[in-house]
Amino acid sequence: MIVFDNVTITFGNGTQALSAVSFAIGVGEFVVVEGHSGAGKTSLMRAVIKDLPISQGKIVIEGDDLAKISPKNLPLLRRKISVVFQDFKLLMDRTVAENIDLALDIIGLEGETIKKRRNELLDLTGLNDKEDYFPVQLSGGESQRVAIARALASEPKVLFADEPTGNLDAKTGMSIIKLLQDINEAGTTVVMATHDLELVKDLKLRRLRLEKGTLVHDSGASHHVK
Amino acid sequence: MSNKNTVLKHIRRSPYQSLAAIFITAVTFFIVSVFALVVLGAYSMLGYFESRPQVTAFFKDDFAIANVESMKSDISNAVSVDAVRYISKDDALEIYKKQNSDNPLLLEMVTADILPASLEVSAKNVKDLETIAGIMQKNASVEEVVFQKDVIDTLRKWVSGVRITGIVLSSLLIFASLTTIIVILGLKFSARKIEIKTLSLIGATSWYIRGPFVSEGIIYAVTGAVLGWGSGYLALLYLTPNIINFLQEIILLPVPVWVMMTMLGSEIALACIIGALASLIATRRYGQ
Repeated sequence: MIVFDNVTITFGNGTQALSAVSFAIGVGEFVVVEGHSGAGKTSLMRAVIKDLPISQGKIVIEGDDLAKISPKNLPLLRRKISVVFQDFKLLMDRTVAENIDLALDIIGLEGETIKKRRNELLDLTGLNDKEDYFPVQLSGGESQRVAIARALASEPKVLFADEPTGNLDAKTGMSIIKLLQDINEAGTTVVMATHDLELVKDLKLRRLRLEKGTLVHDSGASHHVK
Repeated sequence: MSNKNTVLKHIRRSPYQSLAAIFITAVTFFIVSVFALVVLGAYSMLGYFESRPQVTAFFKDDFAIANVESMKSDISNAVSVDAVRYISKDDALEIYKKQNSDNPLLLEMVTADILPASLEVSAKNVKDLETIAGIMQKNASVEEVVFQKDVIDTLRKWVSGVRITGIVLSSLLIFASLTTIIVILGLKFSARKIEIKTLSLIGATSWYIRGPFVSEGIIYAVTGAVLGWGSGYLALLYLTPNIINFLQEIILLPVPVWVMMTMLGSEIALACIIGALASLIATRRYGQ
């Protein structure tokens, strides 16, 4: 479903964010991309939604070469592959409900359908009583849940979560991972980037380990690809 | 949140920027309206004069009435004449008295002796005016020939000048409106860069992002156009009695409602183009 083929990302100043990274992720997998800060996790996620250009190699998503996706079709890619950002990227002047509605409006839903779908997402993420809150009134965990709800609005095939437990305490972090597992069990492929190795050490999940932009370990390798 | 709500939110959040954009477009369309009305009026005046081709010969004091008769027949033989009217010195005084009835001082100072007798010839075709004037000028009794070709030519030059001035001034103001809207929307677009980036990352199309800004630009321009047109119309209504008094028998006013509505429609269409163009440029320029 997602194939990284010798992907290298080099910044303008010569720094290599990713260096000849190759792996494949199959439909319905839950993959953890682990590594310390600066390992290349965020660059990898940004590259998947074409927010960061790759210097070499190829990324293929559902058989389509990312390089061949035109700017006009980019929004469709970004609805198919949603990202939960490390800094949430919630619109601060809009309530929880409005943040979710925005994503639903973008995919062309209207009126009652938006309301119904929003309630489903609020149910799923446990935010029913927070829909009229503004992001500044939410805790880190709640903000993360809003970001997840918004990312799920377009019913993506793949959900990338960049450090979803990054600023959370262990208990809240585990609840977010549980939520991501529920989403994965419902059929969505989930890729989670984290530097918190302790938090995920007991989880029986496929792990990709990045160090200084290089993929040094893949616990699942190719047999996971369906 | 719908596109409409987003646009209204943008406008409400920066009322002074919105006012500046509306003000400059209102001034632009006020000037456009004024020049359009002046040019339309001037063309109507031209039409008035062209539909009444007339040459007037003023006679010397010692002219003989027989000369007038021979001149009449010479003219009738040469061109197709609509009407010929001889105005004696006494008739001229009567006309003068009528025209200056509200100024007794002027009436006291003038007698029939100092006014020339004249012959007014109306041609059926404006092209014949020069022929008529030529016949009149050859007559020894004639002191001066005044014909409307001169008036029409002068008026044409004047209309052309006003039109060019109007086009130049309107173009400059339209450019000023365009750049003002570009700068204002550009600033707003830049200020919302994080939000725009987020929208893009969650799958919003370019049009979804730029749409509210384009609508905003059109709202500014159309509001300005309606205000500018309205101000021009009010000014016209206010000045109508003075203009009627000044033009006397030339009937230009009131301007028909359909003319004003056509002008409003055209200005709204132009405003839509200005607003859309400005916002597209702004979002492209500042969105990079």
